[in-house]
Amino acid sequence: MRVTQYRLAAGLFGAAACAYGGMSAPRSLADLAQSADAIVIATASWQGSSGSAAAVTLQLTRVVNGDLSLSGGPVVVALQGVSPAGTITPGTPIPVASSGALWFLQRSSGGWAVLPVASGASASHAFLPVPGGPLLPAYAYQSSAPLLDKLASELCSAIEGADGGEPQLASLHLGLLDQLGSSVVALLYQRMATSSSLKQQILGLAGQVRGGSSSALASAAQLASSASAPSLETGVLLWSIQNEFRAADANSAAVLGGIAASPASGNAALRHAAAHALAAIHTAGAAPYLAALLDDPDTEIEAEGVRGLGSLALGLPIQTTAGVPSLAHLQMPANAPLRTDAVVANFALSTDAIQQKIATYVPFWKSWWTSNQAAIGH
Amino acid sequence: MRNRSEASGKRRLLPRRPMWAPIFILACCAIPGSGQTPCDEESVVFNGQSYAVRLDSNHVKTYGSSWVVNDQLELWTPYDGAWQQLNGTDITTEAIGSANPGATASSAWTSTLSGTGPGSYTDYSYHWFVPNQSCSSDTSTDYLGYTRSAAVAIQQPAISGANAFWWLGSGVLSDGGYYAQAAWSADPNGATGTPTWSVYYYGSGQVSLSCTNCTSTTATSLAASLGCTADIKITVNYGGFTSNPFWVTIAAPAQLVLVSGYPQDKDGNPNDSTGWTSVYEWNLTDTCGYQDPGLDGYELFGQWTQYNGSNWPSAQPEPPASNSASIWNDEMAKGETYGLNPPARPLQNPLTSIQAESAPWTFTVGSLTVGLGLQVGSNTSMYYVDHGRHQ
Repeated sequence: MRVTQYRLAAGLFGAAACAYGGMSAPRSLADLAQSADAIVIATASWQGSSGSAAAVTLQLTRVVNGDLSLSGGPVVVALQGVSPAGTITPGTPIPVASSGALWFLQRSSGGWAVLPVASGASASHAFLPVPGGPLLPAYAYQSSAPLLDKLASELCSAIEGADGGEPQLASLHLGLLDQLGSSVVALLYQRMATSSSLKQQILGLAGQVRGGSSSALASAAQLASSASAPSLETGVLLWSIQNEFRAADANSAAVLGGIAASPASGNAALRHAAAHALAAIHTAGAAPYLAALLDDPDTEIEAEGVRGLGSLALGLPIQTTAGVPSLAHLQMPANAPLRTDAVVANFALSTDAIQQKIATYVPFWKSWWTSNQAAIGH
Repeated sequence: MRNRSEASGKRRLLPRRPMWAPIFILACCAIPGSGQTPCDEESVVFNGQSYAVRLDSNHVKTYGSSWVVNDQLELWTPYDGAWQQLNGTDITTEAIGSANPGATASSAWTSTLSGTGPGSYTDYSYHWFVPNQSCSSDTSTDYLGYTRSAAVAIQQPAISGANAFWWLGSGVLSDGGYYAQAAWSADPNGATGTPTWSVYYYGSGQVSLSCTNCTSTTATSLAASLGCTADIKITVNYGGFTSNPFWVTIAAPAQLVLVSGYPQDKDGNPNDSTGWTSVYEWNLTDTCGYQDPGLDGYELFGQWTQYNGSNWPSAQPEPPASNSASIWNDEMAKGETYGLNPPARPLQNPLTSIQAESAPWTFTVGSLTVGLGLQVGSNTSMYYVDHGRHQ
């Protein structure tokens, strides 16, 4: 145990922020895994502080990867950037991590340091809450398994065991878990999608939606449309449909079109998410459903019709999150047979911009659809 | 005996260029021939030819010529009637030229490409020859026929490069794989010289160019396009012949959209089990309505206001951070630290409306350097005694 560099308190010591603002950025789990010298499951308590670092005692449950000499005994690790500003007794458990957490550790000159899972001064950004108990059998792994699969197994077991509700784990569904690219994650979604828990079903289906499953999309939409109030899980589902579902096959377009065209009295957020995805896909197969949006009483839905048909006419590629930095979805091809000056003049991507000219745009695109639907194959 | 191309050996007596007349298309556009000389002391050969040539970047000349070989007594006057055609269709009237016997008759048209545009330019000429009235016999005009030149294919200059890139705020050229610059190249497509670049604005988007008389230029964004529209038109001009418009969109990170289901409130702050935590998940989206992963960002607080005699220490902004995703996590928390007034409490049911402190809050992306980047969020960060809110 390397504790000498920390101010060991006989009584109380300043502990991490009791008042902070809190915008933080999650770090890539794959990057963390590659950078870490060890990944462990451990309970944690405050040990002390020194300057801008706090000291945390980890009671190891198991070592996921790395130096197995860590296994078993307590180890003190440095948590940089956590600013003590209160009073905490050494040995005080760190909330959420008190029953177990996953820590990425890196060797430093003074011992071990924590690689936080997110930026910021909050202790909660240092780890992911993963219970220290045994893994669910479905996620058991060999020590020789690929690193990212082992990490995925730990997280998936925790997620399935938590039954939703833990914001830190739920936030993994907003893109981070998928970045692992592990088949274990697909297993998680499959298991959760057939769970008896509504929360798990929605999260599991949402994961499959992000993977492009139109059948999961249809099932999830049914569940979400019956949800009585917005929840963390439906939030994940809406985000998944709107931003990540980009399957370009005809059946997917039909499912999206059906959701978007569902009665206006239904789940408006779900309709908006589906219409947004449909516009982002804007294939020829999606075109009839986009054209139908032009008659929707909701101007945001109408705007998605304009956005989608315009993108089709301009020959723009399907929008994906991966293509956003390069703006691949806005690069006009040299040859776009349907692109005309009028098409350019009646196109915008921003919903606000479209809504400002909705009285002009909607009649134009209705007329355009009538004139061009045969050329598009409808 | 004269040479003629026609098998009959007769001069063709055709009306002047009837549009339905047969058209003779020869490889290099010439019709050599011969006819009975009215003054039969010698043989002559009638000739006609069509030409098309690009004079410079912005002009194409087409012309026809008619002349007589072996007309030693200079008895024949050559005529050429020329039309310019674009993609096989007349774009001019007929120009008629003649020359003295023994000389070459020509008639020509020159088009300015900036007016007529790209396409396939040809000369279409009719050639005829009129005998000297002094000839005692055979005084009929000899109509040699039509020629068409080989085509001169004109393409418009073009621009290549990214037609959409980012505005990330003044002084920020790149961040997290997002670029506020684009390299553009001009393709002359047969034009010559150095092009001139022009920029036309139709909305709020703006760019600057590293050079305007050059083949390749670097565009740097100065402002985002209005509503993610292609509101900047770029052209290159070679001697007056202008490229097709190259429409450009400047996108920009725009706002934080709260993920449905948030904020989430829970008991206990992250460092001990007292007080409370409120969690927001914000999705960063851009002017085009799509989410933007991978950008840097930072938050700032303005002046704090204390309520109800509060002595809460003001919250400090988190340090600037790089994000691997588009989701930003916002955690407001307060522990029940000894001496706080009013005391922080675990979550009440319903949540209390007792305020402790607040401050203006902003969030900026595109840089880790405070002062740079684009502000995408602005509201009031309000700390109640049992929860926190952006409002």
